Amino acid sequence: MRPWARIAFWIVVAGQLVFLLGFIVVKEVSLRTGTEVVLQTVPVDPRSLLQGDYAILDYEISELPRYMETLPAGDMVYVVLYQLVTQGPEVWRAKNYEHDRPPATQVFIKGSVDSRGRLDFGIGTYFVPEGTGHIIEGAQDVKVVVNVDADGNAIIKQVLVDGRPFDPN
Amino acid sequence: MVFRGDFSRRFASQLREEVQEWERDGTITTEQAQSILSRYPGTSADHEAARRRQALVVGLSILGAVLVGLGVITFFAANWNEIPRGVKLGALVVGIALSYGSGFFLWQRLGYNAVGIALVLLGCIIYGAGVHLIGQIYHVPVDHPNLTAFWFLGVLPLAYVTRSTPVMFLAIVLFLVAAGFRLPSWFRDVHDADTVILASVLYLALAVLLYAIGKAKSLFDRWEPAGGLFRAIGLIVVFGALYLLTFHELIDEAGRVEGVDYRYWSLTYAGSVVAIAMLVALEWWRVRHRDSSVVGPLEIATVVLLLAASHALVRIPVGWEPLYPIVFNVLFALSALGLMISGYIQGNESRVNLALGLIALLIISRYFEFSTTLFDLSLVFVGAGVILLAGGFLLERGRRRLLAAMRAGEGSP
Repeated sequence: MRPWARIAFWIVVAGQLVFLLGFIVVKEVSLRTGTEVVLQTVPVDPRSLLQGDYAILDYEISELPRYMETLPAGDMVYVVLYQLVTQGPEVWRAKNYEHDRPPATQVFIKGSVDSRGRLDFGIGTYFVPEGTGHIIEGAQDVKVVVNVDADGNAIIKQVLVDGRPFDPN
Repeated sequence: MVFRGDFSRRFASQLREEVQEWERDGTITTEQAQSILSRYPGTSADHEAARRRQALVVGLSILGAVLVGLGVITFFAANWNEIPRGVKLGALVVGIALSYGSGFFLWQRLGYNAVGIALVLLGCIIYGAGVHLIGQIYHVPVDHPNLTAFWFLGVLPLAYVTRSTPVMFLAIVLFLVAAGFRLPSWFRDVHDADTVILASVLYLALAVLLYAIGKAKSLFDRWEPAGGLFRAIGLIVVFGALYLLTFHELIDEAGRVEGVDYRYWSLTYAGSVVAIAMLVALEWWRVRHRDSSVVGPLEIATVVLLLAASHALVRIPVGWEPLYPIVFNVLFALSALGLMISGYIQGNESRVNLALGLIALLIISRYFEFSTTLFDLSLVFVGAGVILLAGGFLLERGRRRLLAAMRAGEGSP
């Protein structure tokens, strides 16, 4: 191996580690900033070979309104949310769906149209310890606590199973 | 005089086998055989034994690295909540550093090339596990198109820096998987059969591109194993994608392809055009250097036909349903035949064997698609067997003719 290749080897290795740390930082910033919203969902639980057991979370707000049903896959849609006060956690619902980014004064979540014609917000999966997916699947009511940043990017903070935080034990 | 240039292991092995055969046939004497082999270092029996031992070491080391890597991935996939996030992430970072560090030390300082490279490969796998573990912690799904792409982008530079074939193999596989994970985000309300067809068409274009890159590498890059790897994976994926398109049930179920994002079409067309342009440019370069053969133009014609037919399938509906399945069955058979001929001309036995296997696979698949009786099955098996035997006979006859021509050449002034 030539000297330049040795240097390049360690630069690439360092690049991999910096990338992994950067990935964590970006996600942590999303988790620690922004607005916390609670969304209603209906889960099912498959398994991923690389990442283990997880629940698929299908959100009420994922359904596009009729005037947007023909949007092609990959199109970006902003969903403006409003808070619905009920018994227990305060569920947020869709106020309107927009192509353009809403003003910063509003709470909104960004999604893209998926292959089924529903909106994908990047929060459709919740990983659980091995063998505990049935707890979520068998629940009567599943809500998800999500953090939404100023750009509408969402990250899952917690899952509420029948009104209580998910506990695999 | 000793031949000092680069020649492949396959060439050395073939030369040694041929020379032994000529010696047995009486075409050359024992002294002449030794004289020929002595011109090429690396063709002696000792060299061959050493190579086989090295191949065993490489195989064991790579298998070990892959198994440890799988163990690491499944350990984190179990997602034990007894282990805090920080400990998991710390273990991964330490694991990556240890794998790369020990691999580099064994390979560069102590000269343990096989084990050293295997540990570098393990580092690449643990890096991928790290990307997916962080995804798991923040609930990013495994099929998110960016995760495998991030893994691929981390591994590809290392493949070139280390010039390691196993690391390059991992990078190419990750590239193909990342393209597959990207597909669903480009389709909207697309029928399952159409999804398979569209994926096959994209993979056909990408595979031809990989094949063309492999050919370019073999001509201009001294890292020949990488060229062979690109060509081999390209060929396997070409035939895999083409094989799916030979099923009439799949094409019968397909509808009008709508709701496909422009990025899918862009990638498919760009891949096809660049692949054909590369193959044409390489052939032009070969002609300029008087290195051309009939294989080049035939290969280009086959590739153009394959890509044109696949694009027509998803773009041009026809009234007669059986047309496309017939076209793709004929193209599959012709491509396999072309592979066999090119393998024969270039003395590449594995290509010939692969082609014969593909033709047998096509025949057996069509049987299971169209026939239901044991009588039909017996006919198909006999037919496939006869094709394989005939192929073997033709190859053997060609070799005998070559030997006869060589003997005649010796006798003439």
